[in-house]
Amino acid sequence: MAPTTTELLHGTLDLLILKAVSLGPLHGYGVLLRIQQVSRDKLQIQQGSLYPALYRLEHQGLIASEWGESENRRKAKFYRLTSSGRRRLNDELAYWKRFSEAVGLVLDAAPGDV
Amino acid sequence: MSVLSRLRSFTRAALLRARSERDVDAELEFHLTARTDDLIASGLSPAAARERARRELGDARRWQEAARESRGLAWLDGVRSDGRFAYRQLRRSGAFAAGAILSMALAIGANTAIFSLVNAVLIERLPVPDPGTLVLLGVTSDAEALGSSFPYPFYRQLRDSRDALASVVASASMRPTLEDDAAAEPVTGELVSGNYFDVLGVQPYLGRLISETDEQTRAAVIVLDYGYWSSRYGGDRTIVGRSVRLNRQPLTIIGVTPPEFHGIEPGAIPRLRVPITLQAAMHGGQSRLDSPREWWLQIIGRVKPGIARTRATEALGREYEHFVAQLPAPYDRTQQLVLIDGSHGRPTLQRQFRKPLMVLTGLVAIVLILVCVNVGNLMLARGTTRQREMSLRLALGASRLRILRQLIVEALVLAVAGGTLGLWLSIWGARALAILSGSPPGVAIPIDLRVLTFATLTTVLTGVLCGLAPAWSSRRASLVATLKMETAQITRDRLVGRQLLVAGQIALSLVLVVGAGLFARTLFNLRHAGFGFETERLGLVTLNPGLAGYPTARQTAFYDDVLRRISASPNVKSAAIAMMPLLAGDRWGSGLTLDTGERDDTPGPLRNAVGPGFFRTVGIPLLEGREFTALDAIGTEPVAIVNEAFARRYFGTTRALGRRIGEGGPNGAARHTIVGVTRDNKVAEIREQPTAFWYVPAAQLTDLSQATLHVRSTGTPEQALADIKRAVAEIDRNVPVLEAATMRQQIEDQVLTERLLAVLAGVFAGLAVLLAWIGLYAVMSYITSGRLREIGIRMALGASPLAILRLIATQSALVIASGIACGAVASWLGARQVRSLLFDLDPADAETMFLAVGVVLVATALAAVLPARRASRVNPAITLR
Repeated sequence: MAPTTTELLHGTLDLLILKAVSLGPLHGYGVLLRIQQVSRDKLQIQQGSLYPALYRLEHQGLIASEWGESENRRKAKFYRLTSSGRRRLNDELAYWKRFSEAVGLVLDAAPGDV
Repeated sequence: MSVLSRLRSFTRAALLRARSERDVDAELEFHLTARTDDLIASGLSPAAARERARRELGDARRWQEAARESRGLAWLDGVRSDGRFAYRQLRRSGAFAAGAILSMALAIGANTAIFSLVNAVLIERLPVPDPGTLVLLGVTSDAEALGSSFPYPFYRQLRDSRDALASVVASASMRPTLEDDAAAEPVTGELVSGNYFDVLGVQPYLGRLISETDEQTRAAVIVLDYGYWSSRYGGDRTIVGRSVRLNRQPLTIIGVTPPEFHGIEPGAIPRLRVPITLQAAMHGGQSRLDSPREWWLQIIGRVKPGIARTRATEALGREYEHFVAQLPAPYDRTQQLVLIDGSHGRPTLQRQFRKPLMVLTGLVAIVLILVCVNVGNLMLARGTTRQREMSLRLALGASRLRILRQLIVEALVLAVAGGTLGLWLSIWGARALAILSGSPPGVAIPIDLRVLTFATLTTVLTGVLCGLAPAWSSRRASLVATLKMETAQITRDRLVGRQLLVAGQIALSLVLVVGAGLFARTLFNLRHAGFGFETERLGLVTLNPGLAGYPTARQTAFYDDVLRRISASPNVKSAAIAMMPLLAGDRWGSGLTLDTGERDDTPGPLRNAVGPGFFRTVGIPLLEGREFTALDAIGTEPVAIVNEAFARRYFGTTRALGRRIGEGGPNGAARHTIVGVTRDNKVAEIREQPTAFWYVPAAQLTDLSQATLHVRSTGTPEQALADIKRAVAEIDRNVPVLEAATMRQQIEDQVLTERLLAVLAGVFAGLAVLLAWIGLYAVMSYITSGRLREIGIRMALGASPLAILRLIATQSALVIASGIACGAVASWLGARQVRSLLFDLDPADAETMFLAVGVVLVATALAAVLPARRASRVNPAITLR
């Protein structure tokens, strides 16, 4: 039986968070929802691991936070990408593309290619 | 990610801990609520939805922790909890903590106080803009001394030189009498060139300062020092424009200098300044302004930006050669101009205090080391009893690093408490030092940022050093051995180290005691040097009728008047005048011509002019001939009295009486017939060697505008001084009394640095011996208590209490003996370094050494015997149970 959801590769959560907040400011729960929604529920994120990652990224100055109001008019903390966060996101994206292409090439190799 | 953003986030989190925790709570709460809403929307009951949301999120406290950890706060939390734990531990052993903190406070306080003096005297630069470009002008022979004096025309030549590489200012000290409506009093002041404040970069605190125009127009203006303005005029801001009289010359106050500026000589505080062109009136005599042969001005320069000092030296040196070449012979043309670093001002104070301060810094550092060893040792002792606690923590999984940190933090907690107390003590210490080092009243030794930094660093260093020993020993704590309580083996390892530490303490304290002994004997030797006259019950009063307008002809009559009046006082036994006061550092010489036609102008013997009864009054014995009388005056045959050294040097074995001598120089002639020979005595300073000296009658001088009354009192000299002041005021209240001091004070002024050294070295030595005593006592008590069982067995087997006493005493004797041996060698080596600070004393003075060893021996033996005695009274029935 093939699993319907995919476990995150180690180290990719930061990238996903940066990408998610790059589309617009989000609160923590919103980050979670957006990743699941965009990945069509294929990526399962441990809710608990989300917050340490957010704090870490904020400490590194890649994202910044601000208190605001949620869709349901509740007080919530919104995260947005900082300029150094955007640079990092672009670097990571480029790296991820090169990496997945390379891995794809290796995995798709047919016996005749070699 | 920038280091800055991390740092910002760290400090914010560390400082606003509560707020950042609330933020995390609120955020997680929002997460739960939002998730619950979503789950309810998907069909769950509210209670089940809440429950599931909570389960999905997991333990909120863990995320709190994660948040703190990601901001680097976990480490801080650890140290904080270590600190709390250390505090609880220390509170439980109050006596240990109090002792440790107190000794640390004393050591840190003493170090900080000494450093504040070092800072003020040796490190602090002049409080003017860009002090690094300031230079003092000197000529080669004086480069080692103080720089030199120069004639006013030379200053003008430098100032007006077109291609000058430095701007120069000139100043000279003075001691005029200031009169206003309130009173008349002698003050210290300075004559300054018009560009003085401009070149130094000093801005007025009030009004304006002396300008170039003031110098050129000889303006009758005066600028007050801030301290003098506040104390004498109560900080009256309407002072500008008011008139005062200085040596009877009316002057207008034009401004006040800023509080931080005291001139270019640290330690000397001129109370007022006037333009240099008013020199004649201020010095109460001839104008020296136009003479190229009067060397009286101090010149300080500011090298222009971008010019190397060597180039400036060359340029100014050429000017100097040029100037000297114009001078009539015989002027020494071989001397060269040099520039001395002027960033600290004139180095008078530095030269006087550098070596003593270095020595004191060394001594006080030893005290700090002793305290660190002591506290470390005590912590080690506690460490041994806490061995089980440590082992248990190790067994429960604490890392060794964690335990190390715990021990260092414990020491740091003690040190911070000690340091805080010590800083407070140092403020008092600095005040005491200011008095002890003779700094003028109103001059505090500042506790500035540099001193605070020093105190902080010392505190941290103390903490780390104290924690080092126990931390080092915890490094090899054997888990198994301690948990099985095999204490004997562990303690034996450790005892050797502790005994070595105590031996080191004894050695260091011996060094301090020897130092204190040498400095105390030096002070004693100086105070009781062979002065050659009677120093007790002798008072000195300096009068200057010249400043009050007495012409030469009436000066002698005035002194006679004063002498007549005071001889009636029951407090005065006898009195006489002299031009130069004894032991005041003043010297007067004018070469020598002998009746053979020989001259000695190199520079020749010093001399003094004294009145009738001088030798009898001060107690200089006459070997031959007679003393001056009232008959030796202008119009009678000029006479002279010489001292033994003079007679020996110029007449050898032939008789001096009846020979004729006189001033040197081109106009010198041997006019004075020698009528007496005195024994040698100290003239200007205690440290001087007896040299050739001659006297002429004061009444035979053409000018005696200033003279000093030497008074032998029947009671205390202070009473006699008061009588004299009253007598002078009765005769003419306009005549200023410049100095009134007892000979004892005069001597104390000359032994200032020696007294500072002796007193402080004594205090430090006492502290050191006490610390060594505590250290040895603690270790011996510990050793003894560890051997109680063994002692019990020995006694049960028949050993006498005396044998037990010997057993324990031998062990301490070894420690004491090795400590004293090392200390003796160290102090022998150290004493040779302070040879120049000793007087009439060999650095390896055997008497001092024996005495010091005796003191340390007695003190430490006492510490060793007490535990031994206790051991010998052990009841085997109790210890063996």
